[in-house]
Amino acid sequence: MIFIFLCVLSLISATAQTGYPDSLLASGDYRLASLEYERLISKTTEARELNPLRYQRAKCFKLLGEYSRAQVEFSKISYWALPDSLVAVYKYEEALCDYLAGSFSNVIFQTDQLDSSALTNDLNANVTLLRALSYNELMEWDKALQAALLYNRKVHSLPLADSIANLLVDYYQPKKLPRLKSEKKANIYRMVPGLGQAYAGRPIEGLFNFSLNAAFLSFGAYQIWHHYYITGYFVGALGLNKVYFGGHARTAFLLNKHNYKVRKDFCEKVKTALLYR
Amino acid sequence: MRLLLFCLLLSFPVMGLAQTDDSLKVREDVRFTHYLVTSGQYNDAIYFINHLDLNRTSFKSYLDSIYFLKGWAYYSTKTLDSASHYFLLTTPQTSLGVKSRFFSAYNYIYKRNFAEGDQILQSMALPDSQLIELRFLQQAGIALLNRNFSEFEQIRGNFTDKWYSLSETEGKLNDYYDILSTKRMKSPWIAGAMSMIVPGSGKIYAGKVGEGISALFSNAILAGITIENYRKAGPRNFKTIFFGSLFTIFYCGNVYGSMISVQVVNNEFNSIYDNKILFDIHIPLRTIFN
Repeated sequence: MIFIFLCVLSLISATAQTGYPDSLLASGDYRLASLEYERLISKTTEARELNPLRYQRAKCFKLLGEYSRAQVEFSKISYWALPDSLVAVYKYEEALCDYLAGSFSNVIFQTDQLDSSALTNDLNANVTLLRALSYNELMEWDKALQAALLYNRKVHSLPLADSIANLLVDYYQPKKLPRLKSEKKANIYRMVPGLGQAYAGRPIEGLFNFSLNAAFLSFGAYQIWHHYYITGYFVGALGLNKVYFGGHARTAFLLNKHNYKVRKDFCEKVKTALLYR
Repeated sequence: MRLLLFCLLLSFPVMGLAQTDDSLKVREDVRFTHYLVTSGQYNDAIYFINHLDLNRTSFKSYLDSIYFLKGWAYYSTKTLDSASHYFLLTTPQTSLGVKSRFFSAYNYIYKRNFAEGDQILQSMALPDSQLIELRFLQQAGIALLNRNFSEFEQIRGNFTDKWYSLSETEGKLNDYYDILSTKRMKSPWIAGAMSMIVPGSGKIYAGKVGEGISALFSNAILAGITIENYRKAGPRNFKTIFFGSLFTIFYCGNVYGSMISVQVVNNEFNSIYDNKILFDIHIPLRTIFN
Protein backbone atom coordinates (compact mmCIF):
# COMPACT_ATOMS: atom_id res chain seq x y z
CA MET A 1 0.00 0.00 0.00
CA ILE A 2 2.86 2.35 0.82
CA PHE A 3 4.43 1.45 -2.49
CA ILE A 4 1.19 2.24 -4.36
CA PHE A 5 0.80 5.47 -2.42
CA LEU A 6 4.34 6.63 -3.29
CA CYS A 7 3.88 5.66 -6.95
CA VAL A 8 0.72 7.76 -7.14
CA LEU A 9 2.58 10.69 -5.60
CA SER A 10 5.40 10.48 -8.09
CA LEU A 11 2.93 10.15 -10.96
CA ILE A 12 1.15 13.29 -9.83
CA SER A 13 4.42 15.24 -9.70
CA ALA A 14 5.38 14.05 -13.21
CA THR A 15 2.16 15.26 -14.84
CA ALA A 16 2.37 18.51 -12.90
CA GLN A 17 5.67 19.28 -14.67
CA THR A 18 4.05 20.28 -17.98
CA GLY A 19 0.84 21.35 -16.24
CA TYR A 20 2.54 24.27 -14.49
CA PRO A 21 3.90 26.07 -17.59
CA ASP A 22 0.65 25.33 -19.41
CA SER A 23 -1.30 27.01 -16.62
CA LEU A 24 1.06 30.01 -16.71
CA LEU A 25 0.51 30.26 -20.46
CA ALA A 26 -3.24 30.07 -20.01
CA SER A 27 -3.18 32.76 -17.32
CA GLY A 28 -1.16 35.14 -19.52
CA ASP A 29 2.21 35.02 -17.72
CA TYR A 30 4.02 34.32 -20.96
CA ARG A 31 7.52 35.23 -19.78
CA LEU A 32 7.46 32.85 -16.81
CA ALA A 33 5.78 30.19 -18.93
CA SER A 34 8.60 30.43 -21.49
CA LEU A 35 11.13 30.00 -18.70
CA GLU A 36 9.35 26.94 -17.28
CA TYR A 37 9.25 25.38 -20.75
CA GLU A 38 12.97 26.10 -21.08
CA ARG A 39 13.48 24.39 -17.71
CA LEU A 40 11.80 21.25 -19.01
CA ILE A 41 13.80 21.50 -22.24
CA SER A 42 17.03 21.63 -20.24
CA LYS A 43 16.15 18.29 -18.62
CA THR A 44 15.15 16.50 -21.83
CA THR A 45 17.13 15.05 -24.70
CA GLU A 46 14.46 13.09 -26.60
CA ALA A 47 13.31 14.86 -29.78
CA ARG A 48 9.75 13.62 -29.31
CA GLU A 49 9.59 15.29 -25.88
CA LEU A 50 11.55 18.38 -26.91
CA ASN A 51 9.40 19.30 -29.89
CA PRO A 52 6.15 20.13 -28.07
CA LEU A 53 8.11 22.03 -25.40
CA ARG A 54 9.91 24.12 -28.03
CA TYR A 55 6.61 24.71 -29.79
CA GLN A 56 4.98 25.98 -26.62
CA ARG A 57 8.00 28.17 -25.86
CA ALA A 58 7.83 29.63 -29.35
CA LYS A 59 4.15 30.37 -28.77
CA CYS A 60 5.07 32.26 -25.58
CA PHE A 61 7.53 34.42 -27.53
CA LYS A 62 4.94 35.04 -30.21
CA LEU A 63 2.48 36.23 -27.56
CA LEU A 64 5.18 38.46 -26.06
CA GLY A 65 5.78 39.99 -29.50
CA GLU A 66 9.35 38.63 -29.64
CA TYR A 67 9.00 37.15 -33.12
CA SER A 68 12.70 36.66 -33.83
CA ARG A 69 13.10 34.61 -30.65
CA ALA A 70 10.06 32.59 -31.72
CA GLN A 71 11.71 31.99 -35.11
CA VAL A 72 14.87 30.75 -33.38
CA GLU A 73 12.83 28.37 -31.23
CA PHE A 74 10.96 26.99 -34.25
CA SER A 75 14.24 26.42 -36.07
CA LYS A 76 15.25 23.98 -33.30
CA ILE A 77 12.22 21.72 -33.80
CA SER A 78 12.97 18.33 -35.37
CA TYR A 79 10.11 17.92 -37.80
CA TRP A 80 11.14 14.37 -38.72
CA ALA A 81 10.02 13.25 -35.25
CA LEU A 82 6.51 14.70 -35.66
CA PRO A 83 3.34 13.16 -37.12
CA ASP A 84 2.01 14.90 -40.25
CA SER A 85 -0.93 16.52 -38.46
CA LEU A 86 1.38 18.20 -35.97
CA VAL A 87 3.84 19.21 -38.71
CA ALA A 88 1.01 21.19 -40.30
CA VAL A 89 0.17 22.99 -37.06
CA TYR A 90 3.79 23.74 -36.22
CA LYS A 91 4.65 24.90 -39.73
CA TYR A 92 1.66 27.22 -39.74
CA GLU A 93 2.71 28.82 -36.46
CA GLU A 94 6.25 29.12 -37.71
CA ALA A 95 5.02 30.77 -40.91
CA LEU A 96 2.87 33.14 -38.85
CA CYS A 97 5.90 34.17 -36.78
CA ASP A 98 7.88 34.65 -39.99
CA TYR A 99 5.15 36.93 -41.30
CA LEU A 100 4.99 38.94 -38.09
CA ALA A 101 8.78 39.23 -38.11
CA GLY A 102 8.70 40.51 -41.72
CA SER A 103 10.41 37.46 -43.29
CA PHE A 104 7.90 37.07 -46.13
CA SER A 105 9.93 34.76 -48.35
CA ASN A 106 10.28 32.41 -45.36
CA VAL A 107 6.48 32.29 -45.12
CA ILE A 108 6.24 31.02 -48.69
CA PHE A 109 9.07 28.56 -48.08
CA GLN A 110 7.46 27.14 -44.92
CA THR A 111 3.95 26.89 -46.37
CA ASP A 112 5.24 25.31 -49.60
CA GLN A 113 6.32 22.34 -47.51
CA LEU A 114 2.84 21.73 -46.15
CA ASP A 115 0.72 18.83 -47.28
CA SER A 116 -2.73 20.37 -47.73
CA SER A 117 -4.44 17.04 -47.11
CA ALA A 118 -3.07 17.06 -43.56
CA LEU A 119 -4.57 20.49 -42.86
CA THR A 120 -7.92 21.13 -41.24
CA ASN A 121 -10.27 23.54 -43.02
CA ASP A 122 -9.48 26.43 -40.69
CA LEU A 123 -5.77 25.84 -40.91
CA ASN A 124 -5.96 25.60 -44.67
CA ALA A 125 -7.74 28.94 -44.84
CA ASN A 126 -5.21 30.59 -42.50
CA VAL A 127 -2.28 29.26 -44.51
CA THR A 128 -3.84 30.61 -47.70
CA LEU A 129 -4.31 34.00 -46.06
CA LEU A 130 -0.68 34.09 -44.96
CA ARG A 131 0.46 33.23 -48.46
CA ALA A 132 -1.76 35.91 -50.01
CA LEU A 133 -0.45 38.60 -47.66
CA SER A 134 3.17 37.49 -48.11
CA TYR A 135 2.94 37.43 -51.92
CA ASN A 136 1.58 40.96 -51.67
CA GLU A 137 4.56 42.12 -49.65
CA LEU A 138 6.87 40.41 -52.16
CA MET A 139 4.95 42.16 -55.01
CA GLU A 140 4.10 38.88 -56.75
CA TRP A 141 0.68 40.17 -57.75
CA ASP A 142 -0.61 37.22 -59.79
CA LYS A 143 0.11 34.71 -57.06
CA ALA A 144 -1.22 37.12 -54.43
CA LEU A 145 -4.52 37.47 -56.31
CA GLN A 146 -4.88 33.71 -56.75
CA ALA A 147 -4.25 33.10 -53.06
CA ALA A 148 -6.55 35.97 -52.04
CA LEU A 149 -9.43 34.64 -54.19
CA LEU A 150 -8.89 31.14 -52.81
CA TYR A 151 -8.99 32.42 -49.24
CA ASN A 152 -12.09 34.48 -49.98
CA ARG A 153 -13.94 31.39 -51.27
CA LYS A 154 -12.96 29.40 -48.18
CA VAL A 155 -14.07 31.84 -45.48
CA HIS A 156 -16.79 34.02 -46.92
CA SER A 157 -20.20 32.78 -47.90
CA LEU A 158 -22.26 34.06 -50.83
CA PRO A 159 -23.12 36.85 -51.62
CA LEU A 160 -20.31 38.45 -49.57
CA ALA A 161 -17.71 36.22 -51.23
CA ASP A 162 -18.79 37.44 -54.67
CA SER A 163 -18.59 41.11 -53.76
CA ILE A 164 -15.17 40.70 -52.12
CA ALA A 165 -13.94 38.68 -55.10
CA ASN A 166 -15.02 41.50 -57.46
CA LEU A 167 -13.29 44.00 -55.21
CA LEU A 168 -10.07 41.99 -55.21
CA VAL A 169 -10.09 41.54 -58.97
CA ASP A 170 -10.59 45.29 -59.29
CA TYR A 171 -7.67 46.03 -56.94
CA TYR A 172 -5.35 43.80 -58.92
CA GLN A 173 -6.08 45.31 -62.31
CA PRO A 174 -2.82 46.32 -63.92
CA LYS A 175 -3.80 50.01 -63.88
CA LYS A 176 -4.56 49.89 -60.15
CA LEU A 177 -1.55 47.95 -58.96
CA PRO A 178 0.98 50.01 -57.00
CA ARG A 179 2.88 52.03 -59.54
CA LEU A 180 6.36 52.17 -58.23
CA LYS A 181 8.67 54.84 -59.46
CA SER A 182 11.60 53.54 -61.45
CA GLU A 183 15.04 54.04 -59.99
CA LYS A 184 16.55 54.16 -63.47
CA LYS A 185 14.25 56.95 -64.58
CA ALA A 186 14.86 58.84 -61.32
CA ASN A 187 18.63 58.64 -61.95
CA ILE A 188 18.13 60.21 -65.37
CA TYR A 189 15.64 62.86 -64.27
CA ARG A 190 17.78 64.02 -61.36
CA MET A 191 20.40 65.26 -63.84
CA VAL A 192 18.09 68.25 -64.17
CA PRO A 193 17.96 70.02 -60.80
CA GLY A 194 14.58 69.59 -59.15
CA LEU A 195 13.18 67.16 -61.74
CA GLY A 196 14.19 64.14 -59.67
CA GLN A 197 12.27 65.39 -56.64
CA ALA A 198 9.25 66.22 -58.81
CA TYR A 199 9.30 62.68 -60.27
CA ALA A 200 9.53 61.25 -56.72
CA GLY A 201 6.29 63.02 -55.85
CA ARG A 202 7.49 66.34 -54.41
CA PRO A 203 7.06 68.94 -57.18
CA ILE A 204 7.24 71.98 -54.92
CA GLU A 205 10.43 70.77 -53.32
CA GLY A 206 11.74 70.15 -56.81
CA LEU A 207 10.94 73.72 -57.77
CA PHE A 208 12.73 75.01 -54.68
CA ASN A 209 15.78 72.89 -55.47
CA PHE A 210 15.76 74.14 -59.05
CA SER A 211 15.61 77.76 -57.80
CA LEU A 212 18.56 77.15 -55.46
CA ASN A 213 20.64 75.70 -58.27
CA ALA A 214 19.68 78.53 -60.58
CA ALA A 215 20.51 81.10 -57.91
CA PHE A 216 24.03 79.78 -57.34
CA LEU A 217 24.66 79.39 -61.08
CA SER A 218 23.42 82.91 -61.80
CA PHE A 219 25.41 84.37 -58.95
CA GLY A 220 28.59 82.65 -60.18
CA ALA A 221 28.01 83.68 -63.79
CA TYR A 222 27.18 87.27 -62.79
CA GLN A 223 30.30 87.60 -60.66
CA ILE A 224 32.58 86.21 -63.38
CA TRP A 225 30.94 88.48 -65.96
CA HIS A 226 31.84 91.43 -63.78
CA HIS A 227 35.43 90.13 -63.35
CA TYR A 228 34.98 88.85 -59.79
CA TYR A 229 36.62 85.56 -60.72
CA ILE A 230 37.44 84.23 -57.26
CA THR A 231 34.00 85.09 -55.88
CA GLY A 232 32.24 83.73 -58.92
CA TYR A 233 34.15 80.49 -59.03
CA PHE A 234 34.32 79.57 -55.38
CA VAL A 235 30.94 80.80 -54.19
CA GLY A 236 29.02 80.04 -57.35
CA ALA A 237 30.66 76.76 -58.30
CA LEU A 238 31.06 75.33 -54.81
CA GLY A 239 27.55 76.30 -53.78
CA LEU A 240 26.16 74.85 -57.01
CA ASN A 241 28.08 71.63 -56.42
CA LYS A 242 26.60 71.22 -52.94
CA VAL A 243 22.95 71.84 -53.88
CA TYR A 244 23.19 69.85 -57.13
CA PHE A 245 24.55 66.65 -55.57
CA GLY A 246 22.45 67.21 -52.47
CA GLY A 247 19.45 67.08 -54.79
CA HIS A 248 20.64 63.70 -56.10
CA ALA A 249 20.77 62.20 -52.61
CA ARG A 250 17.41 63.71 -51.74
CA THR A 251 15.84 62.21 -54.88
CA ALA A 252 17.03 58.73 -53.94
CA PHE A 253 15.61 59.10 -50.44
CA LEU A 254 12.23 60.45 -51.67
CA LEU A 255 11.94 57.68 -54.24
CA ASN A 256 12.42 54.93 -51.66
CA LYS A 257 9.96 56.62 -49.33
CA HIS A 258 7.33 56.99 -52.06
CA ASN A 259 7.64 53.38 -53.21
CA TYR A 260 7.44 52.06 -49.65
CA LYS A 261 4.29 54.07 -48.92
CA VAL A 262 2.55 53.06 -52.14
CA ARG A 263 3.29 49.39 -51.53
CA LYS A 264 2.22 49.58 -47.90
CA ASP A 265 -1.08 51.30 -48.71
CA PHE A 266 -1.95 48.66 -51.29
CA CYS A 267 -1.13 45.77 -48.92
CA GLU A 268 -3.27 47.33 -46.17
CA LYS A 269 -6.16 47.77 -48.60
CA VAL A 270 -6.06 44.11 -49.61
CA LYS A 271 -5.68 42.98 -45.99
CA THR A 272 -8.76 44.96 -44.95
CA ALA A 273 -10.80 43.40 -47.76
CA LEU A 274 -9.68 39.85 -46.93
CA LEU A 275 -10.26 40.17 -43.19
CA TYR A 276 -13.69 41.73 -43.61
CA ARG A 277 -16.39 40.02 -41.51
CA MET B 1 -5.44 0.71 16.82
CA ARG B 2 -3.54 -1.07 14.11
CA LEU B 3 -5.04 1.28 11.53
CA LEU B 4 -4.01 4.30 13.61
CA LEU B 5 -0.47 2.99 13.89
CA PHE B 6 -0.37 2.35 10.17
CA CYS B 7 -1.51 5.92 9.35
CA LEU B 8 1.04 7.32 11.79
CA LEU B 9 3.80 5.29 10.16
CA LEU B 10 2.68 6.48 6.72
CA SER B 11 2.74 10.15 7.74
CA PHE B 12 6.49 10.14 8.41
CA PRO B 13 7.63 9.40 4.86
CA VAL B 14 4.98 11.78 3.53
CA MET B 15 6.27 14.63 5.71
CA GLY B 16 9.83 13.76 4.84
CA LEU B 17 8.81 13.68 1.20
CA ALA B 18 7.32 17.18 1.46
CA GLN B 19 10.49 18.62 3.04
CA THR B 20 12.72 16.81 0.61
CA ASP B 21 10.43 18.01 -2.17
CA ASP B 22 10.98 21.67 -1.20
CA SER B 23 14.77 21.27 -1.00
CA LEU B 24 14.75 19.47 -4.33
CA LYS B 25 12.71 22.29 -5.84
CA VAL B 26 15.13 24.90 -4.58
CA ARG B 27 18.09 22.90 -5.86
CA GLU B 28 16.35 22.56 -9.18
CA ASP B 29 15.71 26.34 -9.28
CA VAL B 30 19.40 26.99 -8.67
CA ARG B 31 20.39 24.44 -11.32
CA PHE B 32 18.05 26.05 -13.81
CA THR B 33 19.33 29.53 -13.03
CA HIS B 34 22.86 28.28 -13.61
CA TYR B 35 21.70 26.74 -16.90
CA LEU B 36 20.18 30.03 -18.06
CA VAL B 37 23.34 31.96 -17.25
CA THR B 38 25.72 29.46 -18.86
CA SER B 39 23.55 29.27 -21.99
CA GLY B 40 23.68 33.05 -22.37
CA GLN B 41 20.03 33.80 -21.53
CA TYR B 42 20.96 36.54 -19.10
CA ASN B 43 17.78 38.62 -19.17
CA ASP B 44 15.73 35.48 -18.65
CA ALA B 45 17.99 34.51 -15.72
CA ILE B 46 17.47 37.90 -14.08
CA TYR B 47 13.72 37.68 -14.61
CA PHE B 48 13.64 34.16 -13.17
CA ILE B 49 15.68 35.08 -10.09
CA ASN B 50 13.42 38.07 -9.45
CA HIS B 51 10.51 35.66 -9.22
CA LEU B 52 12.14 33.37 -6.69
CA ASP B 53 11.11 33.65 -3.06
CA LEU B 54 14.59 33.99 -1.59
CA ASN B 55 13.18 34.35 1.93
CA ARG B 56 12.36 30.64 2.02
CA THR B 57 14.46 28.68 4.50
CA SER B 58 15.51 26.20 1.82
CA PHE B 59 17.25 28.98 -0.12
CA LYS B 60 19.56 29.99 2.74
CA SER B 61 22.38 27.67 1.70
CA TYR B 62 22.09 28.72 -1.94
CA LEU B 63 21.96 32.49 -1.53
CA ASP B 64 25.61 32.99 -2.43
CA SER B 65 25.12 31.09 -5.68
CA ILE B 66 21.97 33.03 -6.53
CA TYR B 67 23.57 36.39 -5.83
CA PHE B 68 26.63 35.43 -7.82
CA LEU B 69 24.56 34.20 -10.79
CA LYS B 70 22.46 37.35 -10.77
CA GLY B 71 25.57 39.49 -10.56
CA TRP B 72 27.09 37.50 -13.41
CA ALA B 73 23.96 37.93 -15.54
CA TYR B 74 24.04 41.70 -14.99
CA TYR B 75 27.79 41.73 -15.65
CA SER B 76 27.29 39.90 -18.95
CA THR B 77 24.64 42.43 -20.01
CA LYS B 78 27.04 45.29 -19.11
CA THR B 79 24.81 46.54 -16.28
CA LEU B 80 27.86 46.96 -14.06
CA ASP B 81 26.30 48.84 -11.13
CA SER B 82 23.71 46.13 -10.53
CA ALA B 83 26.37 43.47 -11.08
CA SER B 84 28.59 44.96 -8.38
CA HIS B 85 25.65 45.24 -6.00
CA TYR B 86 24.86 41.53 -6.23
CA PHE B 87 28.50 40.44 -6.26
CA LEU B 88 29.00 42.24 -2.95
CA LEU B 89 26.08 40.39 -1.36
CA THR B 90 28.03 37.11 -1.46
CA THR B 91 29.83 35.90 1.65
CA PRO B 92 33.36 37.37 1.57
CA GLN B 93 35.36 34.41 2.87
CA THR B 94 34.09 31.84 0.37
CA SER B 95 35.70 31.13 -3.02
CA LEU B 96 32.57 32.53 -4.68
CA GLY B 97 32.86 35.62 -2.51
CA VAL B 98 36.49 36.19 -3.49
CA LYS B 99 35.69 35.80 -7.19
CA SER B 100 32.68 38.11 -6.83
CA ARG B 101 34.71 40.80 -5.11
CA PHE B 102 37.43 40.78 -7.74
CA PHE B 103 34.83 41.25 -10.46
CA SER B 104 32.99 43.85 -8.44
CA ALA B 105 36.23 45.80 -7.97
CA TYR B 106 36.88 45.54 -11.72
CA ASN B 107 33.38 46.91 -12.43
CA TYR B 108 34.08 49.94 -10.28
CA ILE B 109 37.47 50.43 -11.95
CA TYR B 110 35.79 50.21 -15.37
CA LYS B 111 33.29 52.90 -14.32
CA ARG B 112 36.25 55.08 -13.20
CA ASN B 113 35.28 54.77 -9.55
CA PHE B 114 38.86 53.94 -8.56
CA ALA B 115 38.50 54.67 -4.83
CA GLU B 116 35.63 52.20 -4.46
CA GLY B 117 37.42 49.57 -6.50
CA ASP B 118 40.59 49.95 -4.47
CA GLN B 119 38.64 49.74 -1.22
CA ILE B 120 37.08 46.43 -2.23
CA LEU B 121 40.49 45.06 -3.20
CA GLN B 122 42.02 46.17 0.11
CA SER B 123 39.20 44.64 2.16
CA MET B 124 39.71 41.09 0.84
CA ALA B 125 41.48 38.48 2.96
CA LEU B 126 43.18 36.37 0.28
CA PRO B 127 44.19 32.77 0.84
CA ASP B 128 47.00 32.28 -1.67
CA SER B 129 49.90 34.14 -3.24
CA GLN B 130 48.49 34.02 -6.76
CA LEU B 131 45.40 35.95 -5.66
CA ILE B 132 47.51 38.38 -3.67
CA GLU B 133 49.58 39.11 -6.76
CA LEU B 134 46.35 39.43 -8.77
CA ARG B 135 45.25 42.09 -6.33
CA PHE B 136 48.53 43.93 -6.81
CA LEU B 137 47.99 43.73 -10.56
CA GLN B 138 44.55 45.34 -10.27
CA GLN B 139 45.92 48.05 -8.00
CA ALA B 140 48.75 48.70 -10.44
CA GLY B 141 46.12 49.10 -13.14
CA ILE B 142 44.31 51.66 -10.98
CA ALA B 143 47.56 53.58 -10.46
CA LEU B 144 48.20 53.70 -14.21
CA LEU B 145 44.63 54.78 -14.94
CA ASN B 146 45.07 57.56 -12.39
CA ARG B 147 48.45 58.38 -14.02
CA ASN B 148 49.96 58.03 -10.55
CA PHE B 149 53.37 56.78 -11.69
CA SER B 150 55.08 56.82 -8.31
CA GLU B 151 52.39 54.58 -6.87
CA PHE B 152 52.70 52.24 -9.86
CA GLU B 153 56.46 51.98 -9.31
CA GLN B 154 55.82 51.02 -5.68
CA ILE B 155 53.21 48.39 -6.52
CA ARG B 156 55.06 46.76 -9.39
CA GLY B 157 57.81 45.83 -6.97
CA ASN B 158 55.41 43.07 -5.87
CA PHE B 159 55.27 41.46 -9.34
CA THR B 160 57.06 38.11 -9.12
CA ASP B 161 56.74 36.87 -12.72
CA LYS B 162 55.98 33.50 -11.16
CA TRP B 163 52.46 33.06 -12.43
CA TYR B 164 51.86 32.42 -16.11
CA SER B 165 48.34 33.82 -15.84
CA LEU B 166 49.69 37.15 -14.58
CA SER B 167 53.16 37.63 -16.07
CA GLU B 168 52.05 38.68 -19.56
CA THR B 169 49.72 41.36 -18.19
CA GLU B 170 52.39 42.55 -15.79
CA GLY B 171 54.77 42.94 -18.73
CA LYS B 172 52.17 44.94 -20.67
CA LEU B 173 51.49 47.24 -17.73
CA ASN B 174 55.22 47.90 -17.48
CA ASP B 175 55.28 48.79 -21.19
CA TYR B 176 52.32 51.14 -20.77
CA TYR B 177 54.06 52.76 -17.83
CA ASP B 178 57.17 53.39 -19.99
CA ILE B 179 55.07 55.01 -22.70
CA LEU B 180 52.73 57.03 -20.48
CA SER B 181 55.42 58.35 -18.13
CA THR B 182 57.54 59.68 -21.00
CA LYS B 183 54.73 60.98 -23.21
CA ARG B 184 54.72 64.73 -23.77
CA MET B 185 51.22 65.96 -24.44
CA LYS B 186 50.66 68.52 -27.15
CA SER B 187 49.87 72.07 -26.04
CA PRO B 188 46.61 73.72 -27.19
CA TRP B 189 48.21 77.18 -26.86
CA ILE B 190 50.93 76.31 -29.36
CA ALA B 191 48.27 74.96 -31.73
CA GLY B 192 46.27 78.19 -31.40
CA ALA B 193 49.30 80.38 -32.01
CA MET B 194 50.32 78.37 -35.08
CA SER B 195 46.80 78.64 -36.53
CA MET B 196 46.83 82.38 -36.02
CA ILE B 197 49.95 82.65 -38.17
CA VAL B 198 49.04 80.04 -40.79
CA PRO B 199 45.41 78.84 -40.68
CA GLY B 200 45.28 75.07 -40.40
CA SER B 201 48.85 74.62 -39.18
CA GLY B 202 47.63 74.15 -35.60
CA LYS B 203 45.52 71.18 -36.70
CA ILE B 204 48.48 69.71 -38.57
CA TYR B 205 50.51 70.10 -35.34
CA ALA B 206 47.71 68.19 -33.56
CA GLY B 207 48.10 65.38 -36.10
CA LYS B 208 44.95 66.09 -38.14
CA VAL B 209 46.62 66.79 -41.49
CA GLY B 210 43.49 66.54 -43.65
CA GLU B 211 41.52 68.87 -41.42
CA GLY B 212 44.44 71.30 -41.36
CA ILE B 213 44.69 71.45 -45.15
CA SER B 214 40.93 71.86 -45.42
CA ALA B 215 41.00 74.75 -42.92
CA LEU B 216 43.88 76.34 -44.83
CA PHE B 217 42.01 76.17 -48.15
CA SER B 218 38.70 77.45 -46.79
CA ASN B 219 40.40 80.40 -45.04
CA ALA B 220 42.53 81.15 -48.10
CA ILE B 221 39.50 81.13 -50.43
CA LEU B 222 37.48 83.42 -48.17
CA ALA B 223 40.47 85.73 -47.76
CA GLY B 224 40.88 85.82 -51.54
CA ILE B 225 37.19 86.63 -52.10
CA THR B 226 37.31 89.36 -49.45
CA ILE B 227 40.45 90.95 -50.94
CA GLU B 228 38.99 90.78 -54.47
CA ASN B 229 35.80 92.54 -53.38
CA TYR B 230 37.73 95.04 -51.26
CA ARG B 231 39.93 95.99 -54.18
CA LYS B 232 37.17 96.22 -56.75
CA ALA B 233 34.19 97.42 -54.79
CA GLY B 234 35.71 99.12 -51.77
CA PRO B 235 35.43 98.51 -48.05
CA ARG B 236 31.81 99.63 -47.66
CA ASN B 237 30.41 97.33 -50.30
CA PHE B 238 27.95 94.71 -49.05
CA LYS B 239 29.92 91.80 -50.55
CA THR B 240 33.19 92.98 -48.95
CA ILE B 241 31.53 93.24 -45.56
CA PHE B 242 29.71 89.92 -45.99
CA PHE B 243 32.70 87.86 -47.13
CA GLY B 244 34.98 89.71 -44.72
CA SER B 245 32.72 88.76 -41.84
CA LEU B 246 32.59 85.19 -43.08
CA PHE B 247 36.37 85.08 -43.26
CA THR B 248 36.64 86.44 -39.71
CA ILE B 249 34.27 83.78 -38.42
CA PHE B 250 36.16 81.00 -40.22
CA TYR B 251 39.52 82.36 -39.05
CA CYS B 252 38.46 82.52 -35.40
CA GLY B 253 36.85 79.13 -35.74
CA ASN B 254 40.06 77.74 -37.19
CA VAL B 255 42.09 79.03 -34.19
CA TYR B 256 39.55 77.69 -31.67
CA GLY B 257 39.20 74.45 -33.59
CA SER B 258 42.96 73.88 -33.53
CA MET B 259 43.04 74.27 -29.75
CA ILE B 260 40.13 71.86 -29.38
CA SER B 261 41.77 69.41 -31.80
CA VAL B 262 44.83 69.16 -29.55
CA GLN B 263 42.62 68.45 -26.54
CA VAL B 264 40.74 65.83 -28.55
CA VAL B 265 43.99 64.20 -29.68
CA ASN B 266 45.31 64.14 -26.10
CA ASN B 267 42.02 62.65 -24.88
CA GLU B 268 42.08 60.06 -27.66
CA PHE B 269 45.60 59.02 -26.68
CA ASN B 270 44.62 58.69 -23.02
CA SER B 271 41.44 56.84 -23.92
CA ILE B 272 43.33 54.31 -26.07
CA TYR B 273 45.71 53.49 -23.25
CA ASP B 274 42.97 53.44 -20.63
CA ASN B 275 41.09 50.87 -22.72
CA LYS B 276 44.25 48.80 -23.15
CA ILE B 277 44.87 48.84 -19.39
CA LEU B 278 41.26 47.90 -18.61
CA PHE B 279 41.32 45.11 -21.18
CA ASP B 280 44.62 43.71 -19.94
CA ILE B 281 43.76 43.70 -16.23
CA HIS B 282 40.50 41.95 -17.08
CA ILE B 283 42.19 38.99 -18.78
CA PRO B 284 43.75 37.42 -15.65
CA LEU B 285 40.37 37.62 -13.90
CA ARG B 286 38.77 35.51 -16.63
CA THR B 287 41.75 33.15 -16.77
CA ILE B 288 42.07 32.50 -13.04
CA PHE B 289 38.35 32.39 -12.27
CA ASN B 290 37.29 30.57 -15.45
